[in-house]
Amino acid sequence: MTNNASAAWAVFKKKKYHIIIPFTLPSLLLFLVFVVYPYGQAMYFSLTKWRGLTPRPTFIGLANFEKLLGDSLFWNALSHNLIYLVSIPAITIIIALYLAFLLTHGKARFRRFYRITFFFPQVMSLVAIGVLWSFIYHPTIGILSSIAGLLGAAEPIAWLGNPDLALLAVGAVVVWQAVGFYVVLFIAGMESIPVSYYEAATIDGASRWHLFWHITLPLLWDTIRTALVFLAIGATNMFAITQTMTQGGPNRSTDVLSTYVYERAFLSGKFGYATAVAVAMFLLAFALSVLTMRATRRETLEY
Amino acid sequence: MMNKLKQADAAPEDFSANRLSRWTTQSLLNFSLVFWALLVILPMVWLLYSSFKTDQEIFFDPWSLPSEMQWQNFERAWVTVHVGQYFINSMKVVVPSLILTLALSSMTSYVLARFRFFGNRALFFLFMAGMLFPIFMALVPLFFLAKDLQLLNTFLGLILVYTAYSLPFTIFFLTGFFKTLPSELHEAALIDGANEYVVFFRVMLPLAQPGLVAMAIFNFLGMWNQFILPLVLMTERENYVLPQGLSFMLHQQYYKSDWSALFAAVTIIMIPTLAVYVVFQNQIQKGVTVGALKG
Amino acid sequence: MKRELSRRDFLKSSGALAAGVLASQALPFAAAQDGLPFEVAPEAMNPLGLEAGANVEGVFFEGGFGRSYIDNAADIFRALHPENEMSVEGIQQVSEILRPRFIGGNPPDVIDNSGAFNIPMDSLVADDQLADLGPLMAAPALDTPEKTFAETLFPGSQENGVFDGRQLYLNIAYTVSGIWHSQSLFEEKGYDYPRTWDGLMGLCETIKSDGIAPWTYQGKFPGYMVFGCLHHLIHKTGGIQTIYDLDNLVDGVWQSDAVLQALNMMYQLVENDYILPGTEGLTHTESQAEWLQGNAAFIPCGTWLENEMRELTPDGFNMVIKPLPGPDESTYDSLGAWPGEPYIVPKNAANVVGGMEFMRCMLSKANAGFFAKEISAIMPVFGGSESVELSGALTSALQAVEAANGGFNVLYGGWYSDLRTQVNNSTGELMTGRITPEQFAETVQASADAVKADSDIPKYTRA
Repeated sequence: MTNNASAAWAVFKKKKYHIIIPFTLPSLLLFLVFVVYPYGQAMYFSLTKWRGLTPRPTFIGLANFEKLLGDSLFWNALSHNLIYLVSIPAITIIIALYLAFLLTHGKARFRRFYRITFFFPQVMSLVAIGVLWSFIYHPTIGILSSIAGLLGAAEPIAWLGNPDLALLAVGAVVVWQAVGFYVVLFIAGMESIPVSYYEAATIDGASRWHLFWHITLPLLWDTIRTALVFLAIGATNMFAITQTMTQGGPNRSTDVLSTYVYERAFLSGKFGYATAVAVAMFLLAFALSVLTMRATRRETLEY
Repeated sequence: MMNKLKQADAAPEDFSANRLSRWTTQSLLNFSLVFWALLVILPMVWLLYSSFKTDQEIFFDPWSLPSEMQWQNFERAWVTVHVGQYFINSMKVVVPSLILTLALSSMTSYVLARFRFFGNRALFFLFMAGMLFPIFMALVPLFFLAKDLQLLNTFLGLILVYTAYSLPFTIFFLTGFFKTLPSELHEAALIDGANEYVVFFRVMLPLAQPGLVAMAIFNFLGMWNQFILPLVLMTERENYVLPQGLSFMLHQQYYKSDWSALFAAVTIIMIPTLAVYVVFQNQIQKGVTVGALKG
Repeated sequence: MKRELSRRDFLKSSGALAAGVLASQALPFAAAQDGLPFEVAPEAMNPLGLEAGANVEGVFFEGGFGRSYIDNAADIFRALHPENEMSVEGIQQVSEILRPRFIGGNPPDVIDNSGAFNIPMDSLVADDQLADLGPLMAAPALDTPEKTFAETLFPGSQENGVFDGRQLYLNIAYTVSGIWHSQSLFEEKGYDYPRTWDGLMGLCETIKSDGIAPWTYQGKFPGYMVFGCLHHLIHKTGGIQTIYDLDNLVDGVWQSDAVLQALNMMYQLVENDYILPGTEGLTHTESQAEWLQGNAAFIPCGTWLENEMRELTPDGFNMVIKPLPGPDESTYDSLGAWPGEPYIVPKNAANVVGGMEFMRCMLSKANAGFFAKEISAIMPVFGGSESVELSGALTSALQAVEAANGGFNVLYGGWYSDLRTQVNNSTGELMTGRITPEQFAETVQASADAVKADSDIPKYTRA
């Protein structure tokens, strides 16, 4: 840095609060008022009994959390979140990696077309997707049922009416919706890997699988990690799609924490208890994100 | 960053070593791609042509093409179910929220990324903490807050709330982005006597454009799909945003059995999204790419 | 001063309103020119003291009964009080839409709190959100001279709305529930409606061999099978005392012999494969549409069915309602009939008097006549269906209630929403063969025990 520059820099540094304050204050205010303050209040509500019809909660200490431990419906909803959490990110990433690899390394025609098509569900409203798939799964008017019929199923399958299938059916829609996004993401990641790496390996006679396993995957690790985090956050929510398609039914087989909170609060009027469930959900999300970051922390390969 | 994108242009073509199995591999490969493409396209096509059928045809003959084009389904969806109104409402909320989010977070991120000052880290982590909270927790207090501030059932209220909840991730992302920008330009501009505001708006913002586009897309998708916040904060039907309107319609159909109008409504919503997407898909996909590789 | 007016003109105009554009809140009442379709005694004009200019906001569940009868009542209100505006909005998800307004302290003035997504009455009562309708009950009736409003209502029809001596809600429909079939189909196939459960099972076998599914129910909402079938069977196996025991949370009642027998009877439908495949994935209107298409022979439902499915009902279908046959012929006649479709006036509403005044119009003889004629359903109002030509479905319902000497009513569902949810969910499981009657009894009993043990839930009893 020249003398001239450092002098200018020094002047600038003195005046830096002229920019720091006006540039941070509006964001900070908005954030404090609409995010921090409500969350603080929620912490308090979770310690109260409140039916949500009057603005006067009754303080009851940790009773809600005590009740929560013995609430089988809470554990039921939580178990579904965990199932989603284990399956959706893994399945989505595997399918997306596979398709992305094909599109970068294969000789497939119409690559552009595939990329555009795969991504499309991502821009559709989740509620619209939920409505659309409710019809696809419909036992009498749905196309899936008709296909099953053609394949020899004797009876129409009530995908969303059968507690054994409903969770799978809802999860599949989420995968369907998400895959395209990650295909595009992984393609971008794969294309940024220098060609020379592959060339060298190919000369050594490596197979496609070998290339994928030993070059693509390690170099893509950071992107996959990002994908895992996004998908995990999604799997702890699942509200819009579940509420639209099943509302947690049949017999709570697709209940997740978010729909359970919603039901307890806005349908059963147990606002204090519902907020306690939401706080528990937050603690879970917090623990999970820490765990995910830990588990996937690995030496990043520089290139 | 720049380098990476350049290399992308020279993507590897084909490294298949085993020429013997090439044909099989190729067909398998194509089959997978075609399969997934059909999986995406078929439901939409089915939706599209079903929305031209009568209720009777939809219910009792789900596969058949419409015997006659029922344009009035669209009329019903548009006029009596107010899909158009919901669409406009959504735009009224999402566009200003998006602009506000980008403006506020780019300013804050710039400062957090480029200036050392007391409380910088604390501020950054405070915003980051916002990413961890499930929105559910805040619903009830948020409702009261909006009510006390006279923001319940107003577009302004929803815009402020959308913006506030978009800040954490956007700031997190843009701070990282600003940190990667070269500082030479910044200093050069200062030497030339430009004041710090000019530097930000004339030099830094244009440089940050890929990051801003990425965040615009991320946030657009999130806000466009937002369901739970308007559910609680927009309780008057004429102010409903699209996801709310659709859900209302779905429940109405439980009692009115007007499947065809519901199909038509979903089609009406899908078509403009599809059009916008096809036109801008390049920018959208680039935005996603930038987002992912940085985030 | 007495207002005179022509009944025929009124019916014509309100009928036209009902049939025509329904989104007509803004339309001025056609007959507002000069008054009402009936004579109103001076003391009945405004007994509650509604102030001129105090507008009334009504938000109503718009379900099986539609909204024309609400518009009709609003038209009566507007004619009676030309100085007051009345708005009518129809919604489906009552809780989702109105709860924020309760919290906000500005609920509408009158609400039809019905449907699958209503605000549980138990929490409204416990949080003291409902206006005491005492003044309304004691006020002169609108179009029944010399009677108070309360005296024009069927005895017992408003009993379940009384909490600690206060009338907190009003039921505007008298619903009969039972098993529906198409008389035309039965005549065509030569089926006779059986008088015993075994007879019913025999008939189901015949129907099945004719290639028709004997039963369907409102799959996604298994509650229909509870009030339309399970409660009936329990009444038939255990008598009214067992029903009282359910309501009073008597220990072990869900695992008693009577309930288990009823569950086992219902379970035969599953064991013998009598239920239309795919039923569990259908909404109520969808399953009812299947039934109307002749894909299933029987469906449980209440008397709103006819109106709800009017547009999809094939000509000459001739739907009729019958009691569910019991173990032996002596129990054939009993069936469930209860006042339903509860309306409330929130305590914190801006215009409580206006809300009550609207209820006087809603439950007037004139509106009850409209309800019977246009909606084919009954209001618990004396003389409501006189000189009205009733549909075949409604006639069959009235005959059934008469034969049963009045229907029985089950209250635990309204008192304890958690228990109701559990019974509904478990019924869904039972009807898909995923649990046995014994497991049903055990699960539901556990839920009843939990409700009983929960000191936060206010308890009620009946005898």
